Amino acid sequence: MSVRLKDHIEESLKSLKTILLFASSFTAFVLTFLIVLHSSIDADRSGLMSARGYLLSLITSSDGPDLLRYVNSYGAERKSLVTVIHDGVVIATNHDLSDIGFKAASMTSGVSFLGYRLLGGTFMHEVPLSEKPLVQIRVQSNARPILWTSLIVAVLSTLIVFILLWLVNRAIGRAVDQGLSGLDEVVASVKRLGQGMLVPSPKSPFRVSELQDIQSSIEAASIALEEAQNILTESKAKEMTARAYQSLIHDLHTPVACLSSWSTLLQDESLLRDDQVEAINGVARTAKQILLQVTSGRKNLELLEGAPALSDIKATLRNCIDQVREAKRGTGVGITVEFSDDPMLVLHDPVNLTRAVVNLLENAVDAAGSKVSVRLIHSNTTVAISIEDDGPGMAIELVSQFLSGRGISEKKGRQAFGLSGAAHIARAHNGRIIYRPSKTLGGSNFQIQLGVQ
Amino acid sequence: MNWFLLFALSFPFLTYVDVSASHPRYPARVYIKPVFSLPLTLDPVLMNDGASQTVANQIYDGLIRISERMDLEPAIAESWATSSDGRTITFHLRREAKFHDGSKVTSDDVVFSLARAIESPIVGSLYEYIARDSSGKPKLIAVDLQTVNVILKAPFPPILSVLTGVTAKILPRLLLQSNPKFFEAPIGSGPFRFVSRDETARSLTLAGDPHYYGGVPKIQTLVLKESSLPEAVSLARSGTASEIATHPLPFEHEVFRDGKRLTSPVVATWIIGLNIRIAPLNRLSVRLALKQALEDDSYRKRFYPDALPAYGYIPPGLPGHIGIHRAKPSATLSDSDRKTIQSLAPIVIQIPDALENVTGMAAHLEQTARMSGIKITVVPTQWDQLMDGYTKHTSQAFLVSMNMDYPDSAFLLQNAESTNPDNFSGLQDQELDRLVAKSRLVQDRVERDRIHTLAVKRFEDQAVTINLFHQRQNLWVHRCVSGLVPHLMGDIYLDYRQVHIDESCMKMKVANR
Repeated sequence: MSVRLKDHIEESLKSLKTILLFASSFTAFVLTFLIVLHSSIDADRSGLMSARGYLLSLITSSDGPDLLRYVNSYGAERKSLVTVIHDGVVIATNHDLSDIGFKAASMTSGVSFLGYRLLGGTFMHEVPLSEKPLVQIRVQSNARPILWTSLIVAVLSTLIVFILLWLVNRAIGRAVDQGLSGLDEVVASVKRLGQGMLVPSPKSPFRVSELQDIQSSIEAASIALEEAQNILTESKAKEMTARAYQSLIHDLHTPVACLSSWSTLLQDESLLRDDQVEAINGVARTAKQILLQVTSGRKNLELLEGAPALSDIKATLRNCIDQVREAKRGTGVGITVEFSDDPMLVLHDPVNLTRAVVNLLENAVDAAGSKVSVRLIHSNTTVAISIEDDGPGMAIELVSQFLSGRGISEKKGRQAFGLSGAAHIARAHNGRIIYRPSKTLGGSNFQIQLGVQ
Repeated sequence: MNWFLLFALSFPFLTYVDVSASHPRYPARVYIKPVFSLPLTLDPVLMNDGASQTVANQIYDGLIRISERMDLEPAIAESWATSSDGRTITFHLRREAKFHDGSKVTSDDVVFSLARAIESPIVGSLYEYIARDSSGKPKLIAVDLQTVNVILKAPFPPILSVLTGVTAKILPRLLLQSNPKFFEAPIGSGPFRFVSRDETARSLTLAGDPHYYGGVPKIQTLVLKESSLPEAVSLARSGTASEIATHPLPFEHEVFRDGKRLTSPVVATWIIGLNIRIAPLNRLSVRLALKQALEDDSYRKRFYPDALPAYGYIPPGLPGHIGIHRAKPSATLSDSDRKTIQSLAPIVIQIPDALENVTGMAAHLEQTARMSGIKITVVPTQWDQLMDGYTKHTSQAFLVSMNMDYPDSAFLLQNAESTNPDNFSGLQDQELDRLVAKSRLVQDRVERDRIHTLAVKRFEDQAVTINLFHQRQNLWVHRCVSGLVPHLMGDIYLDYRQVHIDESCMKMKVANR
């Protein structure tokens, strides 16, 4: 079940908000109630005490009418019941006139707190005006206005807190949205690149499951980028190798042409002795120069060799086969692949191994009648790439010459370096090249054995 | 004469007279107010009884009204202001105030009405503090049609209270001056207008004034029905009466079993007034003996237990009131005085015969006095005869309720002034006169109270009143009547503007009977 992030946040804050609302309401109610009650009573106390002299003169001069007028006026203004008690007897009131002349009821019933008394929906308190004569003014106020005022303030407070919480909630939502906007773009990119699906609008909130998808996509993208980097590196290596070969060829072109000229001169019988010697020396210098350049080129190529990596050797082989098939198109020789498609991770240098395999495979196609077979033989300690053909085969005694680079290619009429290069690459992979006559096709069978680590 | 008499007492064990069969049926919207008597006059400056004042407060308006809680409220004057020296009070009249004939109340009417009261030999003493010009006329100045200035001799704190009284009602000058029989069908500016007076049915009918500036009264018709207390109770029990307010009712009266009871204190004192003009009450020793005998609070405890005990003439809440800490009169009777008193003819005390338990009360008073060796005879007397004896100073002693026109001790103390024709006791005490006169000119509240206290003490020492109790009023109100609020000044000030009769309630009650 997916849960909206905002809902999740709101759900988490729900209890806190409820507590905050109730706490603020209750606090506002109690505080307002006490403040209003206290201020009301304090207003009574200060109001009556400020008129103390006048009231006492009314009382001591027995001016009942003016005392009543004052009490009526004060009670009407304060919306309270006011009773003047002289030596325990009611002498003026704005409430029940029949109380006048009788003993005042004692303030013992009801609930007493903080000097006030709650009785039948009214708050009662007494203001002692004088001790001798004993004069008290009892003020009885309706509790409802105070309670209503407190309730209204509490409701307003609740409303304000509610609005504030709503604003805070919205701000949190915005902050979450802003915080997730980067992820939105990533998800959008990943999904567009990957599945071509539209990413939800930025305004649309994320779900936890979506975030999990985002995380998975990021991980996948990371792996893909790493692989791309490998591919890029490999491609770069190939390019550099090609440039190195081009450079080597370019560097060798002049001395080889020079060597060819010296060779032509030596074959000229009319050439003078000195000139012959010079030609022989020229051949020697040029050969030395070529040797130096080749040595230098080899070193360069060795520097370009990529570090072995754990990768699918079958993919490397398929790449080699594809290259050869493309290069030997029209020869009528079929290359049979005898290994499955499932990947086999083997530590190897795909670039150089490709060069080695392609070299052997081209030789096999060139020598074959119509069939070439490529197999992959592996054990716990070795992996062997076996290349067989149905050609005439090669004499075993010649194989070592070719592997050492001393053999002469019959088709090209020159030294064949392919086998020696392949042997060099096999050695770089802690392996070797083995030759034997093919038992299945009757031609040659070269195996590149790689050490498995 | 500025005190008002209430002649009624009642007891929980009264034998009621069923008079409901003879009650006329009134429409449900008619408010029936039993009164112990119809008004003796409708002229505010002549009023001396509660019934008259009750009607006056409904027909007429003054500049200011006193609320049931003693607040001073605007009436014809919508506002007023006092000058910085406290001697000039400026009243601004309502433009919408009208008399019942539709004419506007103007400053001319105000000046005329107040001057009429000031110059009245009966109530004029109430206005001694109003300044007079060189020709002796009161300084009442109509500034314009809606503004009146009242100039005082000196700042007088209770002036506004005085102007809430019945004597300060505003009358239409032109109508009054042109109609000698004006007060037979008076026109005022109060919430109710005079409709008729039926001498046969002994009732007086008022109607709510539809043009009253304070809003149309909810009662359409207000009928004052002369009734004794038993008759009033019977009217209440039959559902005819809307209230019983004029008649004093004990708290536990049977009538409260149905209907509503409104209770409040009232600034009134029940006394037995002693006329020192008639021997042997001209002798202080006799008066003291009688006072000490009857002022034992037994009367209150037996007949009006919810009333407050009276330790002095002035009701509680007024300057000069003597509370429970008052010392008894210092004068004591000598043996010769006692022998003399015992040899005297019985002192006659008149009490209103409207009291249904007058016999029981009379017996109680006589027995209480006899226990102190004083012979008295309590004579139930018809109300008008009692009033006649009071005004002509021919009664030796009389039981009355001293109500007040405005809530100030000066109102009661002036009854003791030597020059006051309303001096019921005939007391001639120059020191008391000086104190009362001085109190009128004192602005300081505490000092005024001190002077009042000295005056009251001197008054008490002269023993011209036996103070029985300070009344608490218990009003019975029909359960279908709402809006009636007891007034601290007494029933005569009840405000009927907001009183309402629930007609559906009334019909339901009729159907249930």
